[in-house]
Amino acid sequence: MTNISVSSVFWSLIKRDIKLAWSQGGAAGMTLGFFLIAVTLFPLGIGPEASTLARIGPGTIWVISLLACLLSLDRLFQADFEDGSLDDLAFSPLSLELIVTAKAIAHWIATILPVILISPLLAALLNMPNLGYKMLILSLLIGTPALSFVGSIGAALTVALRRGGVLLTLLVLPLYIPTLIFGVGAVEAAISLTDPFPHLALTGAVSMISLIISPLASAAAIRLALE
Amino acid sequence: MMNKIKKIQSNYPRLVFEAANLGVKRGGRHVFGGISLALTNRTLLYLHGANGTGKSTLLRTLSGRLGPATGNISLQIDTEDAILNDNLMVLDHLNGLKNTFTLLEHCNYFVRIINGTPPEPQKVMHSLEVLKLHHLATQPIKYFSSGQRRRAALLKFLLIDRPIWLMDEPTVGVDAENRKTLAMMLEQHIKKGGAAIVATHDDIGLKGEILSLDHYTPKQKDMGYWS
Repeated sequence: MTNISVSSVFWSLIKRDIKLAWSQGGAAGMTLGFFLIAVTLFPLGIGPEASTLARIGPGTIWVISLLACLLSLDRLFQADFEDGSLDDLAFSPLSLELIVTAKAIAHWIATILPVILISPLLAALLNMPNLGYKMLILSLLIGTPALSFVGSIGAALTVALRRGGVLLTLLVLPLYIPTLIFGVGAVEAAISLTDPFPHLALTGAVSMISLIISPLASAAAIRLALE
Repeated sequence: MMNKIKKIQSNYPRLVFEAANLGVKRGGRHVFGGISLALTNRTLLYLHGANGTGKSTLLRTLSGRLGPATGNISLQIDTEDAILNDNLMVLDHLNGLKNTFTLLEHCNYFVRIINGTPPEPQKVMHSLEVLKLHHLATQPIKYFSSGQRRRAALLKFLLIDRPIWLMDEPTVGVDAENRKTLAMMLEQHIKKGGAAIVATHDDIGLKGEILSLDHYTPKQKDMGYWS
């Protein structure tokens, strides 16, 4: 029973969650679909004028990414809580802090990464200037881990609630504001040929702070729910 | 039927699992108080009691997920303090199964999340045969009946070797023949030197000590949440 490698348990949990996210009833496919459709609605609603679309492009993609992330977050712990596998996880050699970290990482890989990969396509749809593409992907890569990690706190707090999704949105969306401001700022800076680095650095800082704080907060919330 | 479970030579080390003067409060209500119990090798303890007397609560407390209001829990292995989580295997009311996984995938991920390494295929097949689930190995769990789900949940005791088993109503939905299998599993485990606590309303068919929780409900009327 000794010699259990904590890191291999950690990776097993990430693999399991990615597989679940992409299996039937998982959130990943739906999130990607939501992202595609929601962004596509903007040119239809605002009108096809190319300069207007180019102006709102980066902001639209960032905002819809936040919403797409929120859409998938409410099942982050709830599915495991409801079928009892969260109780089983409590008997793994991982601490609860590592368990919630693994689940947040799996959420980012399974749900957010596909959104990031498809974002240049939608940026083209919104007539975003060529200068912005690299920075859009880069800012999303650096900024979105904060969405998964901060979101995991909300997901842990609402794990035992039946209609937790709405409350989760209210709890988490305000905390997404810094990431949104600096993420969009980086893309706009790249388009207007100014230095995007300060924006990127701040986006990264938000991600790193959330990486440290959210596992502690989420684990505490899950502990309460498991009582 | 007895020859189906292989004889395992290695006995568990000397263990003492003790709870002293345990009392639990939930939602401001005293569920029970003053429970003391001690489990050593080859002890089978049944928890009896009417609905609501705290059988599940006691098991949750003993497995470390619910903090007791009074008393303490200790586990000693070879007279040294041991980590509870590494030596317990717990079956709750919920089965901890994923609808989209096949039974084999479930076994695989379950073992990997507890041990970090995939299970030996022979061990999985043997466990499936013992609980007569081998014909369902490649079926998604969503097509299982409730009795089959309960048996699939029981697999964890065979897949992972832990000295102390805690079972909360393991017989729910399980047919007569498989109840005999459950009794046999418990008998083998006790023979090997393990210990088990089983909360049940049914007669498992094995001799064991009985702890009736009916005697531990608080005599006085509750004063409500603020008492």
